[in-house]
Amino acid sequence: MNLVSLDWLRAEAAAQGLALTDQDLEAIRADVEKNKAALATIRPDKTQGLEPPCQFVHPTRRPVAGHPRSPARGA
Amino acid sequence: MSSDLAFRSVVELSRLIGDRQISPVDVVAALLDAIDRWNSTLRSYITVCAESALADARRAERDIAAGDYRGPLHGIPVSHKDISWTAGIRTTAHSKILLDYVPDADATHVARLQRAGMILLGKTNTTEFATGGMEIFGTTRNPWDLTSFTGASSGGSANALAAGLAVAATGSDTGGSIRIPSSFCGVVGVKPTFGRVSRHGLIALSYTMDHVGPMARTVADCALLLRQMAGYDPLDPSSSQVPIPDFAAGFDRGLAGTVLGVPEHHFYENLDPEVDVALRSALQRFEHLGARLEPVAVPHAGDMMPVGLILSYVESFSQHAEWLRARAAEYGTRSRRRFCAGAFYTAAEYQQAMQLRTLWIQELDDVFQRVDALVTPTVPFPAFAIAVQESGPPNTTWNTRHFNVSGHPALSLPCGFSAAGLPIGMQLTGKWFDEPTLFRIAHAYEQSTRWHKQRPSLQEEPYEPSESRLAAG
Repeated sequence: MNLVSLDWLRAEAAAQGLALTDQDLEAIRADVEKNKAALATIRPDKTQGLEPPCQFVHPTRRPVAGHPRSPARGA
Repeated sequence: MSSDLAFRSVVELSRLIGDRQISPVDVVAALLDAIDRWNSTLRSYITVCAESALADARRAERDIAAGDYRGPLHGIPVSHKDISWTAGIRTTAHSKILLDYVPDADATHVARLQRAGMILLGKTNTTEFATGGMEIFGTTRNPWDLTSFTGASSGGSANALAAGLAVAATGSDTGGSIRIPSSFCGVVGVKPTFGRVSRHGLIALSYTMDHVGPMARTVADCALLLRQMAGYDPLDPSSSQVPIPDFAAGFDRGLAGTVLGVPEHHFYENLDPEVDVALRSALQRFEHLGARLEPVAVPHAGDMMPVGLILSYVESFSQHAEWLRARAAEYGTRSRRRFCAGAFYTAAEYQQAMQLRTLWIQELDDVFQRVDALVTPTVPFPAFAIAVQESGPPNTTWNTRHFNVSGHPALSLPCGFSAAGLPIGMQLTGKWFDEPTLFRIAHAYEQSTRWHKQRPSLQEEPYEPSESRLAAG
């Protein structure tokens, strides 16, 4: 995969003021790389492009009306 | 009698206290006896409030005798996870950084339960900042097998309930931290709808995925606790103004006409064979009780593992960034790495994860147009050895993180035991703010079984962990 190099992590950690050992960075790299690779394969057509068809709606701002038997918000 | 009181349900204790057949002092004394005997083994509590609990119990006894009865939780002891603020009582989050932290105020859910007359018994053990190791106060042990882990991060609340060191507790759940230890320890734990319970005074881990909820030994007890914990709080802008129902109101209705969704994707994959058998048996039981099972497609459920992890890592790094820069050496290895991982995702990746989150919520909304609840295993396997937890545990959030991402309410209740005697948990997930239906379904199942009546047989002598026993576990 090699989406994330140890050198990049080292430089980024230094730039962000994080004192991490190479052991820390190795462990982090495996995890971050796995998640970045997985994200890159998940429905990029829905989240990228000039007009992505899906916006994020914060859970507390969601209408509850989609659930007929749920009580109405703010009632 | 003393041991018996420690294992009574909140509903039973409430009736006995309300009728003045027993005193809150009896209940607190019984629990303190059990804590004295077993806490050094089980590591359930970080702080035990023995003196104040007894004083509060005597006060409750006097008030109730004088006719000043506040309701069904009056005089009932409660144990809070040690990431909830408790005024004047240290709140460590099992961390070096907050080892001596004493909040000035109670968390909102702590204050609400106290106003209902509950007695603070103590602060239960958790992983460091609800995500790391348990290096300072020891690792929580599973009462069903002391070499096994409790699950995290509300493991102290769960094992205290299972072993009779608590009768009611609270926990927090960011990826499954109420439901997983409830499953491993054979108790009931509820992650309510996002916004149902205020997070004010909960030491934050991941702002859009943290939830606070009740834990107890029965569904009815959790329903009673949640009613008091729930409600809008101006101190938490994410809390909801949706009215608070009587969560136990549907208990008499049974399951006739209830439609239960059984996911065709992800949630029943890679199950331990004994968990598979327990869940299939539970599904048959639901049919016997009058529910209809419906297979449902959730093709994007598997996507929610990386999505949930990215959201959680980025948000928790944001929360801890300043401490990580200034006091990194005070973090345990596991939490330092988990928190710092959030520094290496881009803003675009976080935003994409948020958009995928919305798609997942829409997918679930479509499913919940057809079914009343989803039935899944809580965790694909029973509890594993503590040695495994310390060296590299399997993914316990495989079936739970999805509903922290979506915000839907979910609970775990016991549905069986493995051949080795370890509890197996079932997760029920419902529509937004429809906890009453979840409680109704869970109660009907629970009352048709005896899983919740089982008790672990703790060894007579306190267990002393040793390297050989841990390795053998």
